[in-house]
Formats: sequence, C-alpha cells, structure tokens
Amino acid sequence: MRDRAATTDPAGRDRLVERMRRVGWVLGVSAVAATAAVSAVAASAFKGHSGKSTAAGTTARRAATTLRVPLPQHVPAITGAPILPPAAPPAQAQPQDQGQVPQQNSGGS
Amino acid sequence: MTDDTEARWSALGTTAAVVVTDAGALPAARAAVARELQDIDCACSRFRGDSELTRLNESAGRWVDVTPLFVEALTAALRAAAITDGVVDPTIGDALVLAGYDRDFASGPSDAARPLSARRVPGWQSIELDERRGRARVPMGVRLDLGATAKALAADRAATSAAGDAAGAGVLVNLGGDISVAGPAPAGGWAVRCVEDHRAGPDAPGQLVSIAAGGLATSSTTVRRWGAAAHHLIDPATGLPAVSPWRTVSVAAATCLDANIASTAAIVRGHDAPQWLVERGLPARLVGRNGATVTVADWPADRAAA
Repeated sequence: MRDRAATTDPAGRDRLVERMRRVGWVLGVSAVAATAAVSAVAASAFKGHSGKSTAAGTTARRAATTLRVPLPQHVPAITGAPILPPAAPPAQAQPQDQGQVPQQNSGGS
Repeated sequence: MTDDTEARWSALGTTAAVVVTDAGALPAARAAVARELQDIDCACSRFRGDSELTRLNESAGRWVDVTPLFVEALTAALRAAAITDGVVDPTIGDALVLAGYDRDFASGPSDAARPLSARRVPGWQSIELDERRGRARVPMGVRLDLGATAKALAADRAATSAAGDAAGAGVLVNLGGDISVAGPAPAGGWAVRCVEDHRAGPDAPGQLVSIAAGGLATSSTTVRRWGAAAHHLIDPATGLPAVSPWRTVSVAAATCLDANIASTAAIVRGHDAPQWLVERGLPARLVGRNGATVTVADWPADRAAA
C-alpha cells in the first residue's frame, strides 16, 4: 500500500528512485572493494612465476627455495629452562695429575 | 692408565667410551651405556630406516605415535631452539641433505664436489608435539634432524644409567667428544683434553682440563666436513653451513646436553658468542680460525704448551 502510494506521489517516487540509486552505488563500491581484497590475498598466497630466468650457479645460493609451512596447532609447552652452568668451572690439569683413569678427548666429531 | 677402567666401541656414527673409577664396575657400566645408545639410535637416527625419526619424517603432515624416549629427545631439541633463539634448530634436516650430509658420515657425503645449495629452515615452531598423547607431527616439506642434541642427551642418560649400575663407582661417558660424568669423580677430577678432533692423538694441540661433575662438549667445523667449505653445523638463518670466526668451541655446563647446545650455538652465533656465553655463566674455550684461543667465564687460561 505504501509503495503504491509512493509511486502515485511524484515526490515519493523521486525519493524511492534516489534511495535505489544510493543502494546501487553502495553495492558497486562494496563489490569493487571485495574484489580488490580477494585479489590481494590471492596474490600473496600464490606467488606466480617471477618471469626471471636464473642460470644454474656454481656458487652457494642462499634460500633458493621458499618453504611455506602451516601454523602449528599443538605447539609444545617448551619451558625454555635456561642453560645451567656447571657447579664449578673446569680446572687446569697437568698430565702428571692424572690418577688411575685414562684421560678423554673432547673435540669435534 | 689402565684399560680395565675404560671400554671403547663404535656407536651413533662415532666413538663411544665409558670410563669408571672402579674397574670392577666396568662390565655393568658398559652394558648400561650400550643399552642407552641402542635405544637412542632406534629413536633418533636419521640414517636408520626403522628409527622413529625416519618414520616421523616420512609421515610429514600426519600425526605419528612416538615413544617417551623420542618425546624426551624432541623436547630437548625444541628447548635448544627456544633458548638459543632458533640458532640450534632441529628443522635443518633438509638443509643438511642439500649441503651433502645425506648419509652416515662413515660412508662420506653423497657428492662432495657438488655446489652448495640452501633451503630456508622452516623453524622449530612448525613442529607439533603432543606430549600427553605421545605423538608428534611435522608439516609437509619439513625434515627433522636431532643430531645436535640427541647425542649429548644420550651421553647424559648413559652416564646416569651407568652410575646407577656401577655400585657407587664414578662414570664418565664420552660420545665423540660429548662428555657427561656421574657419580663420584676420581681424585683430581676427570681429565679431559680439549682438541679439534675427538680422535686426536696425545700430541695434538689442545688443553688439558679437569671436571668433577656435569658435562663438557666441543663443537667444531674442522671435523665432519666435505667439499670446499661444507660442514655439519648449519646456520638456520641461511640454511648453509655456518660461517663463523670460531672453528672449535668447548663449553662446560651442568649437563652434557646444555654444554652441547651452548657450544653449537657459539659456533653459529659467531662474533657475539663470547658475550653470549659470559651472560649465561658458561665457562668456554673458543678457538678462532687462525688458531688463537679465547677463554671466558672462569675457563682456565690456555697454555701454549698444553
């Protein structure tokens, strides 16, 4: 009833047309914004070929491959307890100080 | 110097040794150490097809049930990463393989002449460990390597276990230079020679020190290397063997595990390693690439004649 009255009233019809124009404008802007946002997300998520060719190098290459890993869902509860120093630092020793047990080497392996 | 207080054999891709203060305790101590090393090898070896680590790496993306020992080893590796700001990171498995360390080192790298290539290290935060349910998961494309910490953990566990079976004798366990002691120390302490290579002879340059408790570990870029510049200490920041001003670092700590974490981190950290060690009160001996030594945090001054 109200719409029928508005369409028979020129002023009411103009208001309705103006309202429809605004709704259309808002919808258009929203669509453009949403498209831009989705495009930005897609561009960062799926990096395409760079377009640059690289020759096989003979020297070390850093970070040649980008690895993307998912975020963990069960991060272990690592306490991060600090490294503890020894009860006493090592003491200088002389070969003649050695008792009945053989000395050991600590070195790279 | 008697052989009846020491036993040596090959294990974990290196040399294992156990020394006791009472010769009568050697058989029990050796058996206890061998048992621990076997367990660690079954759990953590990257080169055994039937190890838990291999099974986990090959099941990337899926939850895998693991034993309490593996949980302990993985927790130790993740703690190492957490307390070193990711400098000692267990997710370097692929980087090690790309660097050429793709098989037991006794067999040599697969292709020592190939150029180095790097892979970004994913980071320890990508690992999921459900301690309560005894399971773990690594993401697709991630391969773990526990070599930096599992051997030192094994030394601590073996020393504790052996001392428990040694009827009051003191025990020293040496796994390729990662040393852990338990029980009463001999008079004057356990004599340990800090050298570049744990297989070095008595005339090799080094320093003789003694410890009474805890652990002592040495990390070096001069051993387990191949090609022109490749070695097994990977810098997670680059995915390549670390380029460090230090070629060898020895650290003493409350445990062998902590000593190993610190010595590995010191090599990778590079120039700020001495300050990092001092801030943590960790006695250490650092050997520069030119052979000059620096000692910190009450490590006894090096003597040229040592």
